[in-house]
Amino acid sequence: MTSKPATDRHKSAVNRERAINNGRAVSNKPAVSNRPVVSSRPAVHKRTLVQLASLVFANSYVLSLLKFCPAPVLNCHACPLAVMACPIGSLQHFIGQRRFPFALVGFFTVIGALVGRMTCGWACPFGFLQDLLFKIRLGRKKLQVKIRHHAWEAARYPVFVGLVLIGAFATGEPLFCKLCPAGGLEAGLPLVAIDPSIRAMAGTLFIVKMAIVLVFIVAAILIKRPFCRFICPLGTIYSPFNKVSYVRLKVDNELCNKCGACRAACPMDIDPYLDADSKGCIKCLECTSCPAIKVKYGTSAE
Amino acid sequence: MRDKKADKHEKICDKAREGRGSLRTKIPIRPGTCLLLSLGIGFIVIGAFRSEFETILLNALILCASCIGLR
Repeated sequence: MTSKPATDRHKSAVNRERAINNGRAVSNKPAVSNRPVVSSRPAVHKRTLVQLASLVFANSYVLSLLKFCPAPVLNCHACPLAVMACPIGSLQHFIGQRRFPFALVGFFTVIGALVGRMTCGWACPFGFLQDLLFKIRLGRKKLQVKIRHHAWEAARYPVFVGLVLIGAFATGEPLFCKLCPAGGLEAGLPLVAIDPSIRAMAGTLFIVKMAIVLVFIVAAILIKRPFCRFICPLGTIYSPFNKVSYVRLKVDNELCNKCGACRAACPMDIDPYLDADSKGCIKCLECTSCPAIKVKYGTSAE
Repeated sequence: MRDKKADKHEKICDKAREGRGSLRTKIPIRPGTCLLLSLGIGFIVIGAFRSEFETILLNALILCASCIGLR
């Protein structure tokens, strides 16, 4: 007696998953096609709620005493409602002062060792905004520009090294903050709108910042998380930790038939079945709707 | 004599396999992650002694012209 081939097993597992999600009885009928069938599980809704809670918490100004602590996500501390300090702004400040940022390096290491880039997927307010913008449909069908070439994603490294490290060291100023769209949206826009004295000081740099914000808003409607994939320096810092962090993903190669469902569900447009813990992965766990991909805590798989 | 020794050894091995005295089965954390965590906590403590959190606080409290986009 021979065992079921991996493809059939995957199809039946995916069918069972779909039946569970739809509240129907389990059917043993094989899937009609290999079309992506990753459906929204409670984990996905949970992620949206967590992202919303993080947005409210990070910009609530309830606990202003926390400003000594860097946020684990990109959230501008110049925002009038910001609760915590921006880690990239603080990092540039230390580099500009020619001081080694022990506390920040330790903070990045602890977050990276525990969850890797999970904070990008679950807690980043700017990432949440991009997720929401990508849900906008222009017309009946979702217009999407797919950028598969990973060379574009390597653009994060020159931005991090050039602007955040070398730029801040050479000029003593936070060069990345001057162009940061998150700062423009969270700090620039509200402060210029509220305060007339600040509005009087807004010049060419403010217009450039607003243009960058506009470019990223339009790009986020068409491309999945463009800022996180091509620019974000915080994601660049966290990404090497993905492979060693406590929370990781594991692909069951026996179940996976490379149908591409995980790729379609991925907000970073990566192929989780090729490398589950790649540097681009933000551990949003949307791909875990596929039974072939599981979360692995430490050394054990769950 | 030799059989007795082998039996005793087997019993000890069985105990270890069951989990008594085997740390690897009890702590499901990889040594690399553990090392990074301790390194990170160490750096945070050094930073706290160098009053880096005060610097972060002062930097976060000032109105950052770069973040807003002022000239």
